[in-house]
Amino acid sequence: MPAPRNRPQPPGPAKVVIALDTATDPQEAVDALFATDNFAAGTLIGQWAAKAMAGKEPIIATLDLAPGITVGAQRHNGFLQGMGLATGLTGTTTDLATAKEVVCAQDTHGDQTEGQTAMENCLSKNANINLVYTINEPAAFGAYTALKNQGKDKDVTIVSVDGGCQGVQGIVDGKIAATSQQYPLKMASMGVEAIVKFAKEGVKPTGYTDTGVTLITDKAQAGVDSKDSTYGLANCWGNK
Amino acid sequence: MSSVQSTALDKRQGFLKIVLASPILGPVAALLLASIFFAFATPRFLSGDNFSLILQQVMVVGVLAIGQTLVIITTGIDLSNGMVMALAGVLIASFAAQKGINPFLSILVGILIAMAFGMLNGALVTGIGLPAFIVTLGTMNIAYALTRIYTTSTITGLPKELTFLGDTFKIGGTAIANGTILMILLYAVTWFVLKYTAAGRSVYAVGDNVEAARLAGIKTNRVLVGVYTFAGLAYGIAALLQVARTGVGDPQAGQTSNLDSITAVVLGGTSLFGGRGSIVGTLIGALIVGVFRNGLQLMGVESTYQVLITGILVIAAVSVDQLTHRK
Repeated sequence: MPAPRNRPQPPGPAKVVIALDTATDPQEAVDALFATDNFAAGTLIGQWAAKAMAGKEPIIATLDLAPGITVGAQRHNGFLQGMGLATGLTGTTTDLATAKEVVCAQDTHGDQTEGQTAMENCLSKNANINLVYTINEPAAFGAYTALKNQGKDKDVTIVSVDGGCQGVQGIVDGKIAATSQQYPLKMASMGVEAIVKFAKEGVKPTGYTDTGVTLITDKAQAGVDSKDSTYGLANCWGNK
Repeated sequence: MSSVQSTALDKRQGFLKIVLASPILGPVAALLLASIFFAFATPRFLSGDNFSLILQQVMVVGVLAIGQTLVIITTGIDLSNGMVMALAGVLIASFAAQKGINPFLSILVGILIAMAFGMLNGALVTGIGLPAFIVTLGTMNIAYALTRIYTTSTITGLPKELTFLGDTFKIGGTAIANGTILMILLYAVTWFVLKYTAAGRSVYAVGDNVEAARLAGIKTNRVLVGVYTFAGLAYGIAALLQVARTGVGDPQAGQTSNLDSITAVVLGGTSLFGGRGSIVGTLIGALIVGVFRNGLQLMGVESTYQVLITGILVIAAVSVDQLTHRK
């Protein structure tokens, strides 16, 4: 029996799709994105490092993620731009920029063991490296172990990105000098709130929401906003 | 006079034959050529400290590859070794640093757990007759999951007994890590066992033709379970080396170690068809990977190209093996 014609039809299932943490390519494939600006995260540690080097000629090793991943390129390129070693970079490329100050660049997949091996080989290549950019804190800890084994941990500055609790502990312990802290839990909660709002009020979330990044360091530099490791530990994600 | 000459010539040809037939000739030549190339390409390659670093960088995969070699000689393959190592490493670190258990007891328990995984692999391969690939794919996932269930955090603050193998001592100004000495000792012992003991010869026999070995009176299942359990022992020791080298218990460790260890075995000239292979070749194979990674990085070659070259080397190695042993 056919349904009566004039019966009101229920509205079709309303849909909303959001992405957390990492942008889809293209970003418009989803309604809304809640993520950290990884380019800004890189820029912050770059700006901090430029001040912290205080006129010393930087000799840099970069311990990167892996080829073709946006997050890795955004942090790396942001760092170089923040350092003032590159200009005109944006967060839209997956190509790693370079500069003459970067004497060694190596993929680590964000892995501690690979970070250590890469740093050892970088030190064989150039024993005068004095600044190490790392894609995340596990890579930073690997770099620290390599430097410590060669008695260079006091002379080399390590900067990183992520700000998980184990990473911030590295700031407390003096292994990492500065890190850009991100807030994955905030990405999740803001995403869920947006969906609840959509379900209740029918307001669709759109565009990109930056969930923020804070520079964590115990060696604050004038002109670069930062918080200390106590703040970092109070706001970090993951197991303490 | 002429007969003396011809005998000498025969001897020389015999020697040449032995050298050419030797499975490690190819790997040794590749390692030497690569080293000579890098020595000319970058002035920093040829130093005692740099070689010592390469040894330290390959020691974990090198010891994993000892177990992998034996398994592959028996026509098997072990995908679980990296994850078993990660599990054992995390447990060793956690027991000693967090639970207050005696460090040596912690190490022993960790190694026993790795051996239990090896024995489980062997039991499933022989008992139910499952392919090693599938069995170890399963135990790889089980070990991975167990590690994550136990902890997702890196374990720090290890007692010095756990990091001793990562410490170095000086020989003529070059810092040598204790762990690399252990690795070389393990290779020497395994080489001796494979070459000069009945158990070692039966590993080859089982790998060459399991039915013939059985008819010759070899208890083939016992040999296979023994091989997988011994491999587990190697993975447990590799776990200790991994912990000592990095100074932490890392639940993320070993994610690509299974393929890295297979790469070392294949580059070392061991046949994936079983029955044929050299443990010394595996050490050379592991060193080839380490030398290329180090040398290319010193030359400033991008990481991606390092991976590309490793891939080409593997294909070249198995092709040479296949062509030289075509029946």
